[in-house]
Amino acid sequence: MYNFSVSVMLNAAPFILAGVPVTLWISVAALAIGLMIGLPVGTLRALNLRALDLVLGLYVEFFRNTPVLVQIVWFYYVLPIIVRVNLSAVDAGILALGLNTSAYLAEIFRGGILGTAAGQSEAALSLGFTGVGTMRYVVLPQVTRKMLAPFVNQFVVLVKDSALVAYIGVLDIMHRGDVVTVQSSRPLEVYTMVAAAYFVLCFAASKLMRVIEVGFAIPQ
Amino acid sequence: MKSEESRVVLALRDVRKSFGAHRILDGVDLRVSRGEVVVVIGPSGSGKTTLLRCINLLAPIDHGNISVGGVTLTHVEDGLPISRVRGRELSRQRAEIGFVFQHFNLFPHLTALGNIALALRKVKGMSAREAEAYGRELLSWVGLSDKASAFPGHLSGGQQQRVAIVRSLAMKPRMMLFDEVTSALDPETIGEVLEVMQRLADDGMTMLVVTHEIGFARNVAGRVIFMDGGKIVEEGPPAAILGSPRQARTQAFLRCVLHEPSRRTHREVGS
Repeated sequence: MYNFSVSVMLNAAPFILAGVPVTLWISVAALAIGLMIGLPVGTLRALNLRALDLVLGLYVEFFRNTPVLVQIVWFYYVLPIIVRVNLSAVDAGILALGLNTSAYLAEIFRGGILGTAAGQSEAALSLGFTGVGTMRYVVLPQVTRKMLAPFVNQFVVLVKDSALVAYIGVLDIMHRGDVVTVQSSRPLEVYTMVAAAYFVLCFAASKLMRVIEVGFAIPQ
Repeated sequence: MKSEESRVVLALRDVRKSFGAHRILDGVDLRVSRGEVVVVIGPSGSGKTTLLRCINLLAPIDHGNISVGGVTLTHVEDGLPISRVRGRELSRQRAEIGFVFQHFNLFPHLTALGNIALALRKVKGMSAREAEAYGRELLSWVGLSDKASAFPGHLSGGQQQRVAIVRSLAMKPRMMLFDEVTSALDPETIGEVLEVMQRLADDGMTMLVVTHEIGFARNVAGRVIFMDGGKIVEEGPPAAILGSPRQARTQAFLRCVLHEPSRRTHREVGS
């Protein structure tokens, strides 16, 4: 009979929780990359420019149809062979997760723009806005606010997926759990602790953003 | 003759437009003079809305010529573009013509005042203070001073449409297009919108109005146009077109509109 030891958990806590900033940094940085690339890609795709759409469509589909873990490994081990840059494990993880997220955000954004555009664009154009002005002042401000919920969802996915960078040796929450487990042979306590840490991060993020979302909602 | 020419605000010559194999506009010729109120009636699918969209360059034409204030906006010969305004000039010309939509198309993320001020600031380059002052003036003109900070989602259909009218009016257009602006409204709010349109007409605004409100056509229009199958079938003074139409198609349409039970509640505006 395995007995659950609280003291094992408490002893392991400082080492495991030291991974929280690492996990958060990877998630936030990847989200930033995802937004920086996902927004323009989604906007361009909504404009439906034929040749460009083919390329961007390929980009999006590549990231959506291969496993994230494979993408992380690819950026860490394969990219240096092709372009001779050595990324640290953390940077490779951020890049892979960021590009992966950008593909999903691009699709969310494209859908949001297409759902908002028709009547709103015509109204803006008839008032004398240029195409760019219409996007900037009328369509995007609405889309961004409507997209807050899917963005948060994407961030939560990202925090959870970031555990995959343990595979390439990053000392995040998950990998620290592995280390302690090997040393202590107490997987029950350790991985429960790890799960709890992820749960608190994700749950807090979605609750916090729910508040922001309500504050930013377009009045109906 | 020269002065007569210069009074023409809008001129369309042989405008044609198809969607796929379906011809929506089949050679429309139309001139609207300064201060004139022209009401377009006709069955749905007769090309009325498309006509307005083409005039505001929201839809490209396949053939013909459209000019506003003597400036050719678009000239196409059998699908071949001869000349067309583009880029910033296109946007500038669009702003010369106001468009009021059936479903208002207010910007839901902005207040009533914000809706009016946005284009004043970003297109006309007014300061925020100027734009808001002018916006408030316009809101009070349509009796909505107390709704300046209300969002469209909190306004009735009639209130939203009045905001949409002054949002468009704020750009000081040469003429305004109205696309069935009361047909998405609850019956009790139709009157307040028609009343605003009547005041615009009284103030000398040049207007091209697509509507099913026969009462408005009778009392406010200087000229009524009946469209069917993408063509202008008949046009003339309201009394003639609405009272004693010559064409069988016009007669049939009017019989239909005037006797449809749900349409009996027409307000006789301005009578």
